[in-house]
Amino acid sequence: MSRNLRLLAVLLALLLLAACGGNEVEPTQAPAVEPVEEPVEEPVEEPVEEPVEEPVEEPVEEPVEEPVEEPVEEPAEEPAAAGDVVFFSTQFVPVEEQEKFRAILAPGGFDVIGTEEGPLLDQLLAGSGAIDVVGSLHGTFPPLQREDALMNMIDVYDDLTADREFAEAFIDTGLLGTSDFLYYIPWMQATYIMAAHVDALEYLPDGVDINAMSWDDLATWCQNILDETGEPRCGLPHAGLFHRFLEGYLWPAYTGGMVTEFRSDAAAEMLAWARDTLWPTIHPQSISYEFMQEPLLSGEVWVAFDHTARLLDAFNEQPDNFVAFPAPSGPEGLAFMPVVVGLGIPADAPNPEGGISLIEYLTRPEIQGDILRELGFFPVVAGVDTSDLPPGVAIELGAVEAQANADNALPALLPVGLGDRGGDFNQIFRDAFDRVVLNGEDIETVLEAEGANLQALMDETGAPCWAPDPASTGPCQVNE
Amino acid sequence: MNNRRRWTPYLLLLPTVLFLALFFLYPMVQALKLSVWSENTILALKDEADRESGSAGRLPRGTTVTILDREGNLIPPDESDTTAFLTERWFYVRGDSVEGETIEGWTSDSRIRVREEAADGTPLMGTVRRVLGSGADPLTRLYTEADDDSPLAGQMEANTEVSIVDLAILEVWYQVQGTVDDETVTGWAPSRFIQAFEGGDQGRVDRGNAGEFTMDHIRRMVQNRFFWPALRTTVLLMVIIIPIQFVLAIIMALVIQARLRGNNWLLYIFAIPLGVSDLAVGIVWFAIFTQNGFLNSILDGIGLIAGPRPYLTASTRGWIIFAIVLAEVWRATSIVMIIVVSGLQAISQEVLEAAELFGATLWQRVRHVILPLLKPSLQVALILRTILALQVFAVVVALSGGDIVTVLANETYRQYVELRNPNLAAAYAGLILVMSMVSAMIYLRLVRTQEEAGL
Repeated sequence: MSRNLRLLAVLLALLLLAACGGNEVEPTQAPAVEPVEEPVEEPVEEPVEEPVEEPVEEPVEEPVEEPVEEPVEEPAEEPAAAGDVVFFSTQFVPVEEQEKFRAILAPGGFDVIGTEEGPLLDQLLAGSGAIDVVGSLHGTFPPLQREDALMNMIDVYDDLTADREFAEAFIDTGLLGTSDFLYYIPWMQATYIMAAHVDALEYLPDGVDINAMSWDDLATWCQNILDETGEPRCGLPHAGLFHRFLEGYLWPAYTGGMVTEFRSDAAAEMLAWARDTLWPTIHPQSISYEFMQEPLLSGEVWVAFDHTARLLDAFNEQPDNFVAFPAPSGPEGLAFMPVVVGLGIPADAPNPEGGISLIEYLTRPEIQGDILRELGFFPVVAGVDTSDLPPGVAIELGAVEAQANADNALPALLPVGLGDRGGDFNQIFRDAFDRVVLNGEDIETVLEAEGANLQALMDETGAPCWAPDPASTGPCQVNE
Repeated sequence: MNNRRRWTPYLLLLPTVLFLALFFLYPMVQALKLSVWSENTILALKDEADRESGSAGRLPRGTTVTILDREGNLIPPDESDTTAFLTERWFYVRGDSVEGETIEGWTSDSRIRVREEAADGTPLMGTVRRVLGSGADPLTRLYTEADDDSPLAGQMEANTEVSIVDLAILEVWYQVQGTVDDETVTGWAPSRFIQAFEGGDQGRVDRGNAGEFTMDHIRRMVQNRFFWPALRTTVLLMVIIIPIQFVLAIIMALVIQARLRGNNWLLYIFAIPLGVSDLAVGIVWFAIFTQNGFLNSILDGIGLIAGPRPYLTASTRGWIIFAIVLAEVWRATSIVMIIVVSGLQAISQEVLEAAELFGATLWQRVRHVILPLLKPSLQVALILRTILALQVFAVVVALSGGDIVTVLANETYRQYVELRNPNLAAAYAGLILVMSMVSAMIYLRLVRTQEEAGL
């Protein structure tokens, strides 16, 4: 008995020692880096003026071979630093994805820690000083901008452009409305597209081209399916990223704007159409769909709208049964929302040099190609080899390109300048839709009330308009 | 002697009291304070561009202001680390202009990338940074003073090499004028609190430096679209679920008390739901009620319905409530049952035997002997169940997606996690706390046990 106790005590002591030792090893002193204290002078004057046309065009054009030569020399400079990079990512958190991602990181000597956005933000805002690189969606960065919690990546970007070319559109979003402060280096991109089961194609209205259809055509199609099969088989991810469907697709496609035209007559018409024509053809179980790939694979839904990453399983598992196509168009064009995942370095990072080498590694064209093949996120640098893709990714890539390069493409960018109130912005769009379509409230009343909420939010955050709305001086104004 | 004896119990209690105060009371008060306190909503203006100067009035966050003047207070470089203010760094640089002449002037350090530093960190050489962003002017401006309102000294192209001649660290202040409650307020504020619009004449109070007591959060909570539905559903669920659970729990307890054969097995079976997490229960019941779920498969299989019917949709909210009630009853009845069983076992056999001897029927025994003697356990179970019913969350989210049918706990979660609004989340949490306390008090008054009533 006492022997057991002694053993236990020794074990405990060893554990303690190990724990303390671990702390000592951790590098707390960062190598001398230029302190980042520039005030953001005029935080939000020039939002992105021009809708950027082709965010996804470049990556595919040329499978260039040269970039392979140059990057190889670089990692040799900082092999020691590379081992100690603490990389937190909100992407690739599920175990399977994380393993694939680890395998991609391993040759560079890096590793990743998966995290949820909320805890990550709390840790960064509290100034934990333990994170070197943050990999997360665009929406994670604005709250950090407000608290000056990030390092300026402008010089890192400058150095990286020596041997690779980034999609300009995402540099604009990474500036978060400033002109001198780059909050993140774009890492990878995605967007929202449509997916359909081949069985649904026979109900397609006559003369409609699946790659150039209107939202009305889609409703007719869904109505045909409902009439012929007796069941609604079109689905929307109402419990998932539905707000992007409203902000980036329906509102801009019908009104040409996101914020300024929020309560316009065109918006009222759109809502009436959604309530009377579209929603009755949508599968009622949509209210609990988060990832459309699941109902698509189970056969419950034939036609669906969702994020590329949330459709990928369907295309990968049954490449012969599903087709991908661009989002339909509205009167104002084919509105779509490109989303970007960025890599940033916290202002209090213990090892920013190592962080920079990780970012250099992840933005190499061949690594971007690996991520595309293994994980289905699209590259943000030019010169990625897109031959030999898995079937699902290849199917999606076609639709993504068709969508970005359409003649009437109208990119609707992610909100900029809302700080940590991005969730409220999404909620206003969801509320407007739910109140009208699900609860049957009067359209004018709802648009008036939610428009006032939207204006209040803009005034409170001082966010100027972003594309597709025209640039504004001062907070974006919701037109009467 | 007497004194010492009186103090001992308090000394023993002291650690507990300290513990409670430190880990329960303090965080709770802080959390509740969030619901009636707004951080950084008021900007206190100064008479002059100086921290030490007197107060010139207050402006709420978001006020549109006219920027009348700008002043940069020079800070010696060795103090730049100590100032609590956001500072601007300006470089006085010399290099080639767009026209090819050598010019010199001031520019913000955000425009210059330092390439060479002296041993003490003083920047010596640098290059002009590229202007990013598709709409921005690609040239970098040099000014005659460290102020972007001062006359232009020239413009430079990106990547021009410059030598850095001088460095100024400035604490920038704006003199602003704004109107609040029909009263015009003019005063100075550090630049970090003001967002200047393009052109520089207009701006807005971007953040404040003082908080204030406010009912805003509570008002916003009540006006929130989800507030009344959430409150209604929570109360409705409570009113439906609790009576069902109590009837079921008492019956189950009596069955166990009857000591049938296989009694132990019954107890284990009844207690299974206790070990299942509530989210898992929600998902299981979702799998039953979803369109291609077990219920539809069975009904379809035995030919009762023609095809799968959707239950959990926006147009069939009654079904969602029904599914939630079923799931909650299945999940949480056993906790009531266990309390009742322990209460039953505390009733002495003699009393029951006496009742039986006097010829009381089973119903009479339950009504007049068992139930009155069970009162204390029922009271405990009621309080516990009501508090738990106010917290119902995971089952609702799993079955309804959280938007169509919502409850108070789900709204707290939505505000804190999805909308990142701790103030509103605190308001919801406070409401749940108040409701729990009030219901517990009502139960303590209503379900009085005899001894208490006699007091």
